Amino acid sequence: MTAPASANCGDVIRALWDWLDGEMEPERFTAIREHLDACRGCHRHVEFARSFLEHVHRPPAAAHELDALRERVRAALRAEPD
Amino acid sequence: MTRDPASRGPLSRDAFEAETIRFLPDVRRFALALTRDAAEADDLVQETYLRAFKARDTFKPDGGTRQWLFTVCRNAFLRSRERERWITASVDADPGEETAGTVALHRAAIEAGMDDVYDRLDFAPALEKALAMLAEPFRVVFALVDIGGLGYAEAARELGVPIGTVRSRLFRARRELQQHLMAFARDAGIGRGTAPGAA
Repeated sequence: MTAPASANCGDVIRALWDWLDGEMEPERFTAIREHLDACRGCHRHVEFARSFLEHVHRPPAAAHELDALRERVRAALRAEPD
Repeated sequence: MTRDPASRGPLSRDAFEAETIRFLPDVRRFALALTRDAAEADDLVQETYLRAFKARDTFKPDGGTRQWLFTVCRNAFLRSRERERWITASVDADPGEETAGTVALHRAAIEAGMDDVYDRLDFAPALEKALAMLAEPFRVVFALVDIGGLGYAEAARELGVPIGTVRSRLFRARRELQQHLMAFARDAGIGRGTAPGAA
């Protein structure tokens, strides 16, 4: 894919997830970042999407409701030969 | 994960357990995203730990213990499914259209005063509920990439589908999940006006 010299709002919208996931060539990544630095509207969309991903990527709390499963797994491991 | 210093053989059971059991909440979350069913997820977690224990001498610490357990978990899950289902399971949308749909959703949410919707929601249970509403091909790609941490190309290899299919399924999963989350938020009285994306 040819890297654009600069990115417009349409480029940013289409590449929103690829950009946030780092799934693009460095030149294109930079072009979009430069656009975001200058475009408040696109920046707002990216921040919204980033907020979603940050919440998704948060590790789960070590919930005590998993105690039963933890014990079940431990028992299964103990039943395995060394 | 390190081996017993006194032995050149695989980890002892105690050492294996000490190293891996702390990641059980992560593995359970990943398994639940893959299976959607709590009982099936628990079975998958147990199978993951047993497979990992049996294969403990093959562990390579490059990606860390958590990532290794995710790999074992997804292999166990995918082997339990017919791979053909992933190839023909759905008509995949254009990734660009899916992304544009997401941005339209964001625009509507911002206009409805829901900019901080994800901070205000009880996010983890809401996401779990929303994931349960996704069709399996979309849910599995989301689980592999967004919870399991795979890149698009790795997920494509795992599933035996083109990378474009991973993109379109992932982007659709993210759009649908956000649509559900915003509907839950509106039901909880967050924001004002109508639910963005509600058709």
